[in-house]
This record gives sequence, C-alpha cells and structure tokens, in this order.
Amino acid sequence: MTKIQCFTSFSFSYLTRAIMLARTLKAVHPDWQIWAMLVDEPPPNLDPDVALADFDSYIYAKDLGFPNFSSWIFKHDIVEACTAVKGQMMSHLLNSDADKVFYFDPDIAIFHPLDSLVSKLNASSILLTPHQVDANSAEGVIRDNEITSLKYGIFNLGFVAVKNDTSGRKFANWWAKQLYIACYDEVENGIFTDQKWCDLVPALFDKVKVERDPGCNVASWNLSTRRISFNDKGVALVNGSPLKFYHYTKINAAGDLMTEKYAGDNVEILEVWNWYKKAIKHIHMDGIPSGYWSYGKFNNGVKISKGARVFYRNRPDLMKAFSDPFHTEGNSYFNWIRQEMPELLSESGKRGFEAI
Amino acid sequence: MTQVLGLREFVGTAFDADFYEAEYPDLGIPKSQMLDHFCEVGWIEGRNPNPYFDTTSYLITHRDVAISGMNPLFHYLQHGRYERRKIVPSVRPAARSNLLFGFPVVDWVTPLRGVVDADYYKTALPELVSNKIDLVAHFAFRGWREGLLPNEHSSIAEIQSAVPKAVALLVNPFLALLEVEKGTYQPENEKDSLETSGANLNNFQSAKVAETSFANDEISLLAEEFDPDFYLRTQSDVALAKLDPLEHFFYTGWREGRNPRADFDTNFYLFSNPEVREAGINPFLHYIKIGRAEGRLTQGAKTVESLGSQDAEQILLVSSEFSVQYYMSQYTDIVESGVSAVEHYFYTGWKERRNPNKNFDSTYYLEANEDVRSAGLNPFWHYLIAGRAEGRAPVRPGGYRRRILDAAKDPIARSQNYAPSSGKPLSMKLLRQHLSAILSGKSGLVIALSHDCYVQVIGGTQIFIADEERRFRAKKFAYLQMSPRKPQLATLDDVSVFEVQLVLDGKILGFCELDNATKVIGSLCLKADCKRIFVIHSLLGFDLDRINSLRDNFKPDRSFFWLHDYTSLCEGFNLLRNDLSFCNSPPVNSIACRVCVYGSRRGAHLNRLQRFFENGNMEVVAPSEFTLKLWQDKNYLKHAKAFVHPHWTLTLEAGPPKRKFTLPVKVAFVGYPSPSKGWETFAAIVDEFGNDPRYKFYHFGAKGVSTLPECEFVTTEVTPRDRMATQRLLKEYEIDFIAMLSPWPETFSYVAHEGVAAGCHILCLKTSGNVAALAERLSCGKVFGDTKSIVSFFQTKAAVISAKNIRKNRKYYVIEDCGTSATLIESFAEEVL
Repeated sequence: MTKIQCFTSFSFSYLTRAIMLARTLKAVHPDWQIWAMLVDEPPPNLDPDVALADFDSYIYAKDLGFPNFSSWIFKHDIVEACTAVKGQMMSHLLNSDADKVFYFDPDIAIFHPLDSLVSKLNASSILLTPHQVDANSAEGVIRDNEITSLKYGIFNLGFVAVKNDTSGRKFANWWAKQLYIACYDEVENGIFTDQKWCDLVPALFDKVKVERDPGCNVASWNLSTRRISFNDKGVALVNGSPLKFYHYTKINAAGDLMTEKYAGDNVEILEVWNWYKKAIKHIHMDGIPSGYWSYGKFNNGVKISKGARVFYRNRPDLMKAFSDPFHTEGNSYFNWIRQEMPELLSESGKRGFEAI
Repeated sequence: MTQVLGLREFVGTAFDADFYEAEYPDLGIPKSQMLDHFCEVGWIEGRNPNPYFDTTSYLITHRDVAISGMNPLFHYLQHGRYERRKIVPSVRPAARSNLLFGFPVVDWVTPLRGVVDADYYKTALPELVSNKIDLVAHFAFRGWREGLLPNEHSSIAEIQSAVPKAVALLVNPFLALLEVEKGTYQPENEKDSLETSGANLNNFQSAKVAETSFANDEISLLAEEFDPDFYLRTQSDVALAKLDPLEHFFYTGWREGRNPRADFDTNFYLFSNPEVREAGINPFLHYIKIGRAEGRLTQGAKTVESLGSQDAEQILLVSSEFSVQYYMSQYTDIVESGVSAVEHYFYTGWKERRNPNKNFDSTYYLEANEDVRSAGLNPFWHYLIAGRAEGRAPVRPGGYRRRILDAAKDPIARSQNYAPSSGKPLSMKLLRQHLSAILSGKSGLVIALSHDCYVQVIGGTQIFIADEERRFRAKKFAYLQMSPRKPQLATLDDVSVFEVQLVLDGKILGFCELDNATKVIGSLCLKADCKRIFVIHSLLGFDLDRINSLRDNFKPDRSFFWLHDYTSLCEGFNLLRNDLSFCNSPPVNSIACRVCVYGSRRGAHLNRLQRFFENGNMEVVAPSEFTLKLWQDKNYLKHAKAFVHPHWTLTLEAGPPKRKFTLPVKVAFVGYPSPSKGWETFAAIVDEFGNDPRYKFYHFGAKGVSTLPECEFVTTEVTPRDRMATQRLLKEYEIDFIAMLSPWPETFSYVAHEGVAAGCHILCLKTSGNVAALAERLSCGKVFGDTKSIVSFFQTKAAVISAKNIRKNRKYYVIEDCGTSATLIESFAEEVL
C-alpha cells in the first residue's frame, strides 16, 4: 500500500483552518499521515498535544535544522515565514519511508478522495496546479487573474505533491535551498515567497505534471471559468469533475467580494464558501490570543515591524553582529535600531522600509 | 425593419415620456405613443426628448447631422457623445416663456396656428418634409431658430424692433408678438433694459437667426465681462488641459458651478434665481443681459473652487438608463420635493445610496468597487461609462437565490422564535375525565400527531386533518390530536420536559407534559372492541423517544405514517439544499449534506427515525405515486407496508362553450409568495413580461399577502367551509395558466388539482414531482427542464399558441375527496378491524 505523508504549514493563529483541512482530509483518506508544520511556538495557555489532536504528528520549524534559525526566521513576516519552511519540510518527509508527499495550505478543505492525484504521481514526480487552466477573455477579468498570475506565479503553491524518487527529491532539495535564500514578498524583484520560484519547475525538472482537473485548487482566481453543481448523489462537481479541494483564500470581506463577483449566478459556489466560513467559526480554540505569532515580537514584547525585518535582511553586517535579533538586552539589534533607526520600531515601520 | 426597431429602442433609453407629455400639450396623444411620435416626427419639429438634450441646438450646431437626416438623439447616443459633441439643455417652452412674460405659456403651437401660412412655410423649408409633420410645431420650436419666417408678411426687422428679449431668451418671437397684441406683455421696458445692459442684439441683422451665430453672439457678449486669468487661476484642470477658458465656461463650466470672475458666484445666482436654473440658462449671461438691469443680487466667488465634473453630458448618460418611474415609486420624498429625479440621483441620491433603477444597486457597486468609492464617483455613471464594459456587476450577483442562501438557517435556529401555543395547562384528572366521557359509546380512539394545532392554523395539511377528524367522528371514533406546545422544524430526543397541546374532537383541551398524557392514555380501560388508530401527519417538533413510549402505551391496532412532506428523509422537509435546490436526499455523508444547513443534524435525525420505525409496524401512506417512489428509492426505515392514497381525484365534466380567442393570455400564481412555492421564478417572469400586452398576470392569495404591482391580486380565502374558493375564482377569471414553479417535488398539490379542475393548464418544473406527473397524465400543462425554458415559452409565440388551444377545448373537472386515514380504515376493514 502506498504510504502518503501530507503536511500543512501555519502559525497558531491559523489553527482552526488547519484543523478543518485535517478533518476533511481524514474523512476521505484516513490512512494518510497528516503533519502540522508549525512556524510558531505555542502560546503559554495552549496544550499543543490537545490543540493539534486532529493531526498525526506535529513539528516546529525551529526543529527542522535550519542554520542560524533565529536570524533567518527574523527576516520574514508571517506569510513569508510560513511559506519559507515548505521546501525543507518536504525534504524532511522525503527522507522518511513516504512514497509520496502532499502539501496543502491550511486554508484548503478537501471534498473528494484524491486518488486521481495519487495515481498521477505514478507516471510523474512533481504535481503542480496552475492558478488558471482556462483562459479568460474580458480585460478586467484577465487583469484580476492572468496578469496577477504573471506577477505572483503561474502555479498556486497552496498545493504541491511529489513522489519519493530522484526527480521529486531533487525538486524538494532545490526548493528548500531557494527558499532559505529568498522567500520574500518582493514582486518588484521577481520574487514572491515560495510560489514564484516554482515557475521554473517545468524547466528545471523532469516528470513535472501540470494538473488541469478543474476540481483541484478551486479558488477566487479561477472561478471565472469554473462552475460548481451538485449531482443526485450529493457530489459537488466543478465543470463536471468532482470537487477535490477548494482553496479558501481571504476569508474576509475582500474574499467575499471576489468570490461573489466571480461566482455570479452560480450560487452553489457560495454554498461551498459560506459553509467553510461557518465551519471554522464553530471550531473553538481557547488559549490563542488574537493575532498571535511567537516570531512577531522582540523578546521584550515590542512588535517587530516589516521595516525592521527588511532592513535586517538587507544588511549582512547586522546579521553577523546580531545573530539572535529577537533578543533585546545589551548589544542587541533592538537597541541598535532604537539608537540608529528608531522609526523602524514604529508599528508600521513603513518610513524605514521606504528609506531603504 | 430591424434598423427602425433598433433606433426606437435605442432612443427610448434616453426618452422621457413624462417630460414629453408635459412639454407638448398640443400633441394630445397617449403617453404610450410619445416615443414613436418623437422618433417619427417630433425631432424634425424640434421637440426635445428629455430635459437635457435640445434637439434644435444639436441640429444647428452639427450641420452634418442635420444633413444626414438622422435622429439627432440617436446620433448623439450612438456617436456624438464619443466624439465629445456639445449638447445643451432643452429649451423648455413653459420655463422660457415664464422667464420672459412672467407667466408660462406651455402650448406654443396652438397660438401660432393663426400665424403660420402652411403653404408658404412648406416652400420655405430647405428640404421636403413628410406630410405627417406639423408645420406650425416645426416653426414654433425649430424653424424660427433656423431663420425661417412663418408667412410672407413677416420680417426680421419687425421682430428686431418689437421683441428683442424674446430672441435672447429663445422664446419664439411671434409668440411674444401675440402676447404683445393681447396686452399681456409689454416689451418696451425690456428693450430699454437690454440696451442699457449692453446686450448686443445688433448682430440680429441677418434674415436668419442662425443658432451658431447666436452662440457666437453670446460668447462675444460674455467675453466682454469674463475674466480668463481668474478662471485659469482658479480652475487648474482647465489650465492644465490648455482649454479655452471662455468656451469652457460658456459650454460646461457654469454647469459645474465654476465662476466667471471674482465678483460673480455662479451657484449663488442659480440658487437665488430658480427660474434661471429651471430654464437651463447660463447664469452669467442672464445677469449681463437681464439680471443686472433688474437689479438682481450677485455674490463674490468663493475662493476654493469645486472641480466637480458633473455636466449635462454625464446627466444625459445617467438618464439614458435611469427609471424615473422606479425612482419616484421608491423614494416618495423626491416626489414631494418636486425636484427632477435624475438630477436628484446624479447630485445627491447616489450619496444616499439610492438606486437609479431596479437593476442597479448603488450600495453594492460602491462596496464592491473600491476604486470608484475612493474616487468619489457617481457609481451608476461609472458603470455606464466604464464598469459594464469592464465586466463589473451592477447588483450583488446571484439574485434571489443568493438572498435565499444568505437567509438559510439550521432548523433549530429557524424556529428559535416560534411562540409556544397559548392554550391553558391541562390537568391529568381533567384529561382522564374528558377521554372517559367521550369514549363511552365510541367504537375507537384515534391519536393523531402533527406539527401544529390544526384548529388554530389554516393550511393544506391542517384542513386535511380537520377532514380526517370529521370522518372519524362520523364513524364513532374519538379523535385526539397532539402537537408540540412549542413548534419546531426539527425532531428532538432527550428533552428534559416535553409538552404537547391536545385537541379532542376539535376542541382544544390545553397543554400538558407528554409523559403524563402517555400514562393517562395507557391506563384508560378501553373496551376490547374499541379500536385504536395511531396516525402521524408530521413528526417535526416532537421528542421521538417519547412518541415511541406513547405508542407503546397506546398499543394501536394500526399505525399510519403520512408522507405529507419528506421529514422522514431530512429535517429540511422539502429536500431543498440550503432552501435553494432540490437535493434528491443524497447520502448523509455527502458533500451536499456537508454544505447544507440541514446537513449537520441529519445523521442524528435519521437515527431517531430509525428507532421510531423499528417496532412501529408503520403503514406508510403517500398522497401521490411520485412521492411513494421517491421515498421507496431512498427508504431505510422498517415499515409494514407503503402505498398511495391520494387526497383528491379528478373526474371530467362538461367544459365551457368555445370562445373567440383574444389577448391577453392569463397567467396566475396561487398561494403564499414563498420561494419554496416558486414565487421568485414567477416574479422574474412578471418582471420581464409584466408590461407585455400579450400577457396579464394574476395573484390569487389570502387577504394581506404581499404581491407585485404588475399583478392583479384576487383575494382568495380557502377555509374548511369553503374548500373550493380557489377553483371557483380561477374559473371565474378564466385563467389560462397557473405557475406552479416550486423547485422541489411537492408530495401532493391541492392548487394543481384546483387549477386543473378550473380548466387551467399548469406550468411547472420537471422537479415538481406530483405536479409534473399530473400535468403529464392529464395533458394539462407544460413541464420545463429549467427556468430559462419558461422564459423562452413567454418570449416566443408558444404561450399564446398554447393559450389558444386551451381555450378551444377547455376542460373542467369535478374534484372528489378520497378521504384521509378514515377511508383507509374502510378499505382495510375486513383485514384488520
């Protein structure tokens, strides 16, 4: 029997979504091993064994063997950090006895057995889902979708699956290395977290399969060409193919607007969307303060601005001088910027960022 | 032909029939013909289609359009606005004459009939015109402005000396001369004032009062007093765009409230002089020509200038799809204020989140389009000029289905606010007394369960239970009905205290705990030959484990479970996923159930039912074949037997005599306007075809039920005493079609039977279960695959052809009541009793 390891990467503030992923995945594949990859450390009043009971295993990013972890993780905001670890975790799981490794973003829910994807990894080694698989024709829609993909990446890295073979491992190791170097939201420099790197994958690696099943990775960026319906058996279909997984990006007012804009009169999409919003609200998770992220603050409790992170990652001398930039005592990065660049301590840090 | 229709429809988007009717009382034609009049002859006569477009000015200013013979409004909408051609507000007869005479002359045509010599005028026209053209109207509104004279005796000199101010205000000067003759207008003073005010009318030398030269005259007049430096200094956008400041002010700037010089505030002058504002006259020109001599007040310009971009072009665009009727009906405060609806919307209404027509939602558009909101743009204008082409939605997508989805709640939440029955508490002593007394001499006892108290609520099932009670009592059975004291749309178990309302032989006894009633019933010493019948009409709201206990104590001889709905498959009793789409009762662990508001409770509900049916020896009764089949396909419940027992049957009787077919086709909706009855689909049809003369729409419903303005409402009260009210009224109104567009398979439809009995045909969806089956069985209706095909039925000739056929051979039926559980006792009498 094929042994499949699956993981998702998140901080504790995303736990309810990750639990929904785990539960919906377990419902269709109880035999898969689901890992929680936590780019965080637990808040004081949370028992991780209880909070993460829906997962088979969990691991903290700091335990994945990143060199100079404190210095490295400091360079990333929360989105950058949660994506920067994915390559390393994938390599880690490929070093186990897994036959295949699947990654899902925590804001994905599974609706149908994924056997077709598992099968596709028999003939190929790397499976990617593009943001769009059907071209749009209206200019405004192209602007929202295709042009955004050109900026942020052709493939959506909310999903990626690899086989534990030479090509799969080669890809995972390459990806981990690139993400260690630069997993930033710097679209103007041609980089967007872990995602834009993967535009290169079909060129750099063998046995890459582009999954074009409209039932995969359904999200606001492809709703313009996808319609959801239900058959008599209660199966949700996307353009006639069973809905495998939906990517609930932006569960907020902006996400609502984008979803309803592209759902149009296909109200069934909103049935799938509304269900998720209600479902994650019903998962009660006490002990996680609002907006919690253990790497979001200096060890004296001051919030780390994006500007302070960007300034640090662009200055090798500071990285060398302050190998643990979270520390605030004595000769610390905190005291240095307080002295030299106090504006970087402000909430937004925007001024400092722009000055760079 | 297509081209003509296209033009009419296109012009119609910017045509204001109310305006046309008010401006041109000489026409004397129905409002419905106004648009045709404007398209055919009105524009040639120089009449205006709305307050923002002056036909004659457009023809004079753009000679190429005049030569082409094209309808000028059509030209503007099709080409002119994209070519940035200038338009000016309508020269409105009443407003202009009011400005000149001090009183309005609304009808300019009738007085001028004695002035215009038709034969002379016809030869004076530069081109041949149709015989349909009213030459007097042509002269009144257009001809004089093009320099034409009404007869051979008139001369320009006469006009010049007699009524110069009339020309300046674009009032037909011959009309002014008539007022002079009547003594109601004295032009001398005005002439003096014009001369002293510096108005330059000497250019009025030519035999033609050409509009272009008139505009040039006005610009020249303006130039003498206009301060271009001030204008460019304060209007930086004009300076940046390198526009001519004088021309900008003349054509556009004043409408945007911009000021011509430091000591003249445009808005103040317009505000102080409403007749100038109403007439659409450049306020600074008015001041120069007339206002100054009359001593009208002015005020210095404000130093901070508005750079707003509202102008007549924008308003015209907005008005092209603006519905005055909708606006006025929705916002009565606007009617009371007397302001123009489109202007109100343009300047103020959208900021108050009002809507310009029923198909555009200002609130949604601004909410969904952050760029429009942050730029402070009028959302409807933005939609018309750009948003539509960019694929932006005018209303929240999803329509009524979206609203249903948003309102969908799980059954517990939905019935949270249902009030408990208002009956009195019932002691067990009293219950025992009542039952003992009534059972003496009876041949049996029926215990019937349903979701509400049938003697207090009117509805199909309730009337059915009343019939059942009557029939059982006729057979000497006592009839005890129980309903949950607090109605619920869910089944329950393990409730700490569960109370029921009891009704015995039609009389409310009161409420008590079911456990206590069960003990009393169990302890009744019924005679050996006293039969016991247990009937379930609905289990919603009941604690099923307690009902099990009741049944065990009652020890019924027979137990009937009626499929009035699909509660035995799901608490969503009409099998509408999220109250929206028929789900066909899929597996409980399906995705459809996962995303449905009824899904999370369904597993527990089915478990409760399984326990209830396990030892119940239930006989399942379906009121229609379709229902039985669907139930049996999905059934998982242990039962003794299952069969069909219809509520009604139909027997053919003589139809009415043949009648000559005349339109309209009559289409009706019967009942409460709820989505589960297909009201929203019916409403969408009425919305599209409500003004189509081929159809007339009716709504038959109880008093006080809301309806649509396009429907004729027929008050229809069905009661146990007047069961056939619907059939009678449908027959009386000679309805052709009844719309039965419920999206789910109703188990039995009284309305469908009433309609067919009344000679109507049914319009239904293929998912409508027994309704579609009835339509097909008796060939008395159309079964549609989806709502789009219903729309197509009305769009094409199909509906009219079908109605003709119905009326050729209309069939009536007699409705026969088949009985209730009481008739089941008869049919199985020998077998069981």
